[in-house]
Amino acid sequence: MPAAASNHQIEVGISICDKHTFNRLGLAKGNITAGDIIRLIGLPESLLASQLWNTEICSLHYGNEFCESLIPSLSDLGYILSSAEAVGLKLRLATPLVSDHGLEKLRRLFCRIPQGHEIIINDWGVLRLLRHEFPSLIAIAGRQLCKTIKDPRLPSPEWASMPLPVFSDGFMSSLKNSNISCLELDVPPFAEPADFAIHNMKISVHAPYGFVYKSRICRIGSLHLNWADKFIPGHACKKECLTYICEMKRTHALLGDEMYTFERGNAMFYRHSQKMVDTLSKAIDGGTISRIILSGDWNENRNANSKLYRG
Amino acid sequence: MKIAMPIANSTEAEPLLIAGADEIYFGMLPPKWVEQFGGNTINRRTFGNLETLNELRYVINIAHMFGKQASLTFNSQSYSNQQLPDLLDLARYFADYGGDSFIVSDIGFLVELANAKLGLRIHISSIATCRNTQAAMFYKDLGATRVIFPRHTTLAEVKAIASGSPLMEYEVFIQNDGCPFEEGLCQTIHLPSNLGGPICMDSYQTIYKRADGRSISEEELVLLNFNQDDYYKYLWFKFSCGFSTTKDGYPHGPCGLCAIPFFRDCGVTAIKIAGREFPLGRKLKSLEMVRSVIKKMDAVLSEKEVTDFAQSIRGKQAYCKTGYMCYYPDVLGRVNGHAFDPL
Repeated sequence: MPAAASNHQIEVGISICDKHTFNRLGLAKGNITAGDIIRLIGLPESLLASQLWNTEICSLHYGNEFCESLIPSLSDLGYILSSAEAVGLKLRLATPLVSDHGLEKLRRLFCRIPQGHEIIINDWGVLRLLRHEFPSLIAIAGRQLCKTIKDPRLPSPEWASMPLPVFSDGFMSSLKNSNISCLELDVPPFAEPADFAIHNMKISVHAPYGFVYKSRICRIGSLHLNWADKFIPGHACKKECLTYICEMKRTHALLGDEMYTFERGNAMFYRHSQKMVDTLSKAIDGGTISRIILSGDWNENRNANSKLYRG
Repeated sequence: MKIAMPIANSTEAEPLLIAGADEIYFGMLPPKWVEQFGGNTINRRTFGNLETLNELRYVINIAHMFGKQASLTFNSQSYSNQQLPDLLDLARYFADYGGDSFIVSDIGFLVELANAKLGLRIHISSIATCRNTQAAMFYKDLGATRVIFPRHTTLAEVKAIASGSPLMEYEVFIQNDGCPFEEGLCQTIHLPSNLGGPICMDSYQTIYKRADGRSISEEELVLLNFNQDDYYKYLWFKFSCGFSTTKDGYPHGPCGLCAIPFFRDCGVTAIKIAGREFPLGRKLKSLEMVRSVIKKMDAVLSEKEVTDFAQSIRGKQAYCKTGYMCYYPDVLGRVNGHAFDPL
């Protein structure tokens, strides 16, 4: 890969929701670069902004943003905390939208997390819990709080008429009042580099996938349930999302080059187009993005045949 | 317990109030807004909105003539700074005309509205995805007076939140309008049908792979295909059994009629009939069903008797027993001893 050196200081982190991924991706060995991750996942090299290629992974997002069934156990969190510390990775805990039941699970985890660590929140209730009971933990606004149109089927930019809420003063003041100074965003279809220039906020961007929708009803999570128990709010599951990926192809696609989409668990994602990679790259060069988060396991697993993935 | 009813235009207000609606809610899409910001950016729909201030004043007045309430909906997922002045102007007109409450989902606009101190009640839209007690308290801290729960909330969760944050009012879906996703977190557009329509109804081929790279076995494939078929059945039920009605005009699900006694016992303030853009006839039939169940409930029938009655209205008990037509399938467990209990 023709890796270009970048003068701009940017942090690259990796997100994982399965503790086994830590070893599978070789994170335990340390000194893993963004390029290594792209190779291990099996993505085309062109999907990573070239200036990131040799950047070492320095942080770990552990947990899942989309499903409360994937909230880690205390023991798994402890394992990942010590593993990350051993190789100098800064740990952040990713959290989803939750019921009161999920909130209790998170409360137990927050008790275990050392002060000063960052929590990615996608639920205003989780934010309130943090502010009232765990003020020493730092909240980051997750991408589900930063809503914008990300429909992978849109034929032209004119359709993406929903504004980025981060430009609303009321939204910003509610974040500031909660001591939030960092936002996580996706790269929407038809995004421009200037979209990431947000005053007085550190911006983290997920790559190389954006999320489209999530559901409380999990199609793949209903796989082993009896008919009457499937697709019910809060239904049980066997975490089938860690085993299966569902590629989603429109049967009547009007455009020849539709974005590649897939479901992982209860959520749909699109893979960045080359145009989106270029947009991200320009935004990085422009100094508006401070962190890139690569998807370590809840992704399309293109390189699944690799022995690394056989646990 | 109040019945909140949507109207698509000013002419629907009177017949629905006569038929027993306690609250009417509606969106407004001024022509000026359409010119500046497009059609679907103020309350997520291009059609089924009031358009003029005269209409706005009329529906507030007629609601008050019946001793009922009027709510104005601002339920776009988010608004920009450029849009806020127009939104606040509209909110001020609504307040000046004597409107009762705003329905809001965007946190930014909620903050602006609270700062404007218009003195009206603020209801948190289902689009705001309030799923736990702390979230309800978060919205209360910002000045909200009511939370409208999102779809796919369990009865136990409604009860826990209503008791955990008791100083708020709560509203739940009861009829019409299904969505298989977390509506407030669906970042797509309901495209015109020639471009695919809503993404939940778009035609997708699903190709399963294993994350560990192993091939899908024949046994797994059978299971995956069965599950896929079940999912399509679920969607059919969720979308009103193929957008159909009974021969008497009663809409099929999604439906929460059986859960009305439970909600009354939890102190839920209002039950919501959704479907602003549906025809008036469908709304009236939905309202008729809801009122008849409340009447049975008020006649001090047992929960089981109310449920039996609710399931008899459409004469489609077999559909009801699947649970797929239900907003609250866990109600079947309460009544029939089904083992499901998510908490």
